[in-house]
Amino acid sequence: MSIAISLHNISKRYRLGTVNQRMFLDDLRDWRDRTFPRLKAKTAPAPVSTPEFWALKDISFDIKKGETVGLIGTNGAGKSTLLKLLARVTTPTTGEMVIDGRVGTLLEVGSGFHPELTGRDNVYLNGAVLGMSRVEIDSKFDEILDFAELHQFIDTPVKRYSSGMRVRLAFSVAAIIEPEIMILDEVLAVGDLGFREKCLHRIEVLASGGQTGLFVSHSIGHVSRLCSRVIWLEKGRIRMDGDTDAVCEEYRKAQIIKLAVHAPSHAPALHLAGESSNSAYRILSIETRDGLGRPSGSFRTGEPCRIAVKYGSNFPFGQPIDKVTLRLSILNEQGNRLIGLDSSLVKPKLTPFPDAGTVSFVIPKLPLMEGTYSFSLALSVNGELMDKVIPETFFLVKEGDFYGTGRAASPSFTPLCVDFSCFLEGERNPAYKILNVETRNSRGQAAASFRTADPCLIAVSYAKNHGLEEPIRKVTMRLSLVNDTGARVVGMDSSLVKPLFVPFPDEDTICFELPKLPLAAGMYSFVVSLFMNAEVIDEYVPDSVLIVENGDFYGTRRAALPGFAPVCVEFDCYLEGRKEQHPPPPRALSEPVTGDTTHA
Amino acid sequence: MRGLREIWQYRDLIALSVRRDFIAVNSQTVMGPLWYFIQPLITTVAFTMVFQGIANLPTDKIPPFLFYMSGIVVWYFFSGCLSKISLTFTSNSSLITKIYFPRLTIPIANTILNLWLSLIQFIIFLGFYAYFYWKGAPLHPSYRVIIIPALIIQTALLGMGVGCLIAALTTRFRDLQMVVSPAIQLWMYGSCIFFPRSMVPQHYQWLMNINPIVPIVESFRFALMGQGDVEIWQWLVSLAITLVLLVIGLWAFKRAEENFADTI
Repeated sequence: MSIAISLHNISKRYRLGTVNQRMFLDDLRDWRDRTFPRLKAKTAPAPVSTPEFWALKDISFDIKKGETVGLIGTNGAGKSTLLKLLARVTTPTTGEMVIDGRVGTLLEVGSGFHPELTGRDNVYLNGAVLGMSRVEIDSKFDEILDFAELHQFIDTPVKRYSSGMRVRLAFSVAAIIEPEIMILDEVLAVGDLGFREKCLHRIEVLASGGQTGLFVSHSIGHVSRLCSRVIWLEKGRIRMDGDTDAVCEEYRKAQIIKLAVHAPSHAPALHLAGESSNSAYRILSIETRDGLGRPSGSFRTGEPCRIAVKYGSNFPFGQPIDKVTLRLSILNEQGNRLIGLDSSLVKPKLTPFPDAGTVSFVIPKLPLMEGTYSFSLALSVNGELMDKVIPETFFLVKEGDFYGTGRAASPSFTPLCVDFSCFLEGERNPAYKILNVETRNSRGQAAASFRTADPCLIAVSYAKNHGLEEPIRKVTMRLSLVNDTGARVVGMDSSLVKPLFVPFPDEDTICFELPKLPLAAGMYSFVVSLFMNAEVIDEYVPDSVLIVENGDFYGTRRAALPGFAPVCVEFDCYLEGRKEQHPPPPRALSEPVTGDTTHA
Repeated sequence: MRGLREIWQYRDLIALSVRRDFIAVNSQTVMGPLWYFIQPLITTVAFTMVFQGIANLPTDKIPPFLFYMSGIVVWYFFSGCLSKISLTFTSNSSLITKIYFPRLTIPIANTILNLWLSLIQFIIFLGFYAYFYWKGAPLHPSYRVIIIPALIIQTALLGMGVGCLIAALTTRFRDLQMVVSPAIQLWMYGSCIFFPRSMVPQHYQWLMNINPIVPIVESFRFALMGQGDVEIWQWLVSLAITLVLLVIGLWAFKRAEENFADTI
């Protein structure tokens, strides 16, 4: 296979800070000093050696025709410089470079557009800049238009386009005309999600169709999706070059090492200017820990994760502290906030607040998808911002089984996992079908509203649908009461009280009777499942809800606080020395009870 | 040689750039391309009033209106190329720093655009020429008109050479941008645009000899109207200067395009 791009010991040097600051006189003096050294002004200051910066150093690699290569590396690794060299926008300081084929670049889309021209004219102009002839563009024009979905606006001047439309048009030109070598630099960070996905797909098609391509990204996700080989640049040199999986894995590991290097004790967090030294409190470090509290930089989706934030004080705060808020953001590779955790949502005050300590955030089930993530933190005391930091730490998330189904979600489909369920409504065809769930009060009448401690009957009617082929040996019905946050509060399994339910009539109603409803005030829904011979036959989530109001469960005229006690259980409480004989006698159930929770 | 072949490959880009610039200049103007007719006419009328009516400068027996207009057509072509090309890098920087294409396509496209615009002006000039000829003015067209295409090409090359040189230098010294337009103005005063070479005093004639545009203007007038002060050696010197400037300009341009993306 022939070589499309060949680099041999390429280096690129930049002079720092001096570009274009020279005046004509400086050049004249340089020239005079070079040509007539004797005339050199004696008083002239010694020539300040210009600080140099090698953006690239001894880069050598070959890219074969038809290969799609990814270029990864942190900021300042030299990716953009390398791309500029390959795009022949600039020339290497030393080294040899051979490029065989027409290079199409999309370094920053749309920069070649002229605002006064129509979309059509710009397509031709852009194509011509990319080296296409007019005839070639003619033959591709309809395809470009279809891809950009801009039929309506193609004869409108581009200056009236929205930025999104420009990007679409620019990408379409570059994607459709198929340059022999395609160079892409993070372009996919633009455009709406649908179009981005379309672009990625197009690049995949091109890559599988033998297109030579070089794709630059911070995002391992995109690179591993598109490329068969990855070159990892670090500080202007090639750190690793090889198979995508191997290089991406090493790259990830290096990020973990970085995390270890920046361990709490010797990694002062990077403070945003001027906000740390003159505040009473400062954030010292951040550490990620696994479910057992051990420091870890790598997690799986769905695993428990703990983020420990250490803080200390510069000087005493002076005033009484009545509210402390710590806000933790988890950022993705592009720096977008995916998760924001505000301590005041779960802990309104976070007081008493010692001068130094650790605030831990616990995420029981990490919803993040595969990737590298970083943090940003902000600490406020009494509403006043104390410190804001972006720690130089990363943590990695690997594919994990969030849903407990043995399947992992695709990162390109969802950035976060959320708990959800999904079922087919109204089209169930089980052997036996749950028809309805009804709640009845003490008089046997259907009711939806109850008080805590009221007697309650939940009637689940069912009917035979097509029946079970095997004989029914055991029937179990499970009834769950779910509160408005989706948590199961009460689970009732019929087999606990009625082991078999055999014989099982074709059509009847199964009743769950609760002599004293233990639920705290709130709204509840049901989840019913029917098992036969230990197999799920039907699952049912009725639309009906159960409304519970404060009731006097304990006969003490006090109602339990729902946030503290979601379910009431019978209990007693006494000092061992003098046990009271009896609780006060229960009153009539219909007597209203106020939601007095101060003594609860 | 490789450079030339590459430019040929990008010929459609040149064509489209010419079209782009033409549209861009005329968009949102009421009269559009009509301005290309009006501009030289205004200047010609102004020159006729000032230099003929007030200063009373001689015009070598050529009708003053035609005399000034011939100079202006040539000069507009030259200065148009020069000033536009000298901005090659600065006005296209957004594109040049992003993508490779033969940079020389920009000066070439600018030259072609100016050639096209000057052609329109030349046609207007011919219209007036025909009018004056019909009125019996002493015009003596001769077989020498065949050198006019050569003069046009020479003007184009001269404009390109000087333009490229300035464009290359401005990447280093931005100050030059400020100087370009007054310098062009100054150059015009020394280029026999509104006075005949015959009235230049003897001790300034050497200036006329080293100014490559002077023999072009004079030859143009001589070929069309039979009046002009130009020797064949003067024209050859002008041609030599043109070629030298072109070579220097292209060399400097080549060097500038290699480093431009880093210095901007």
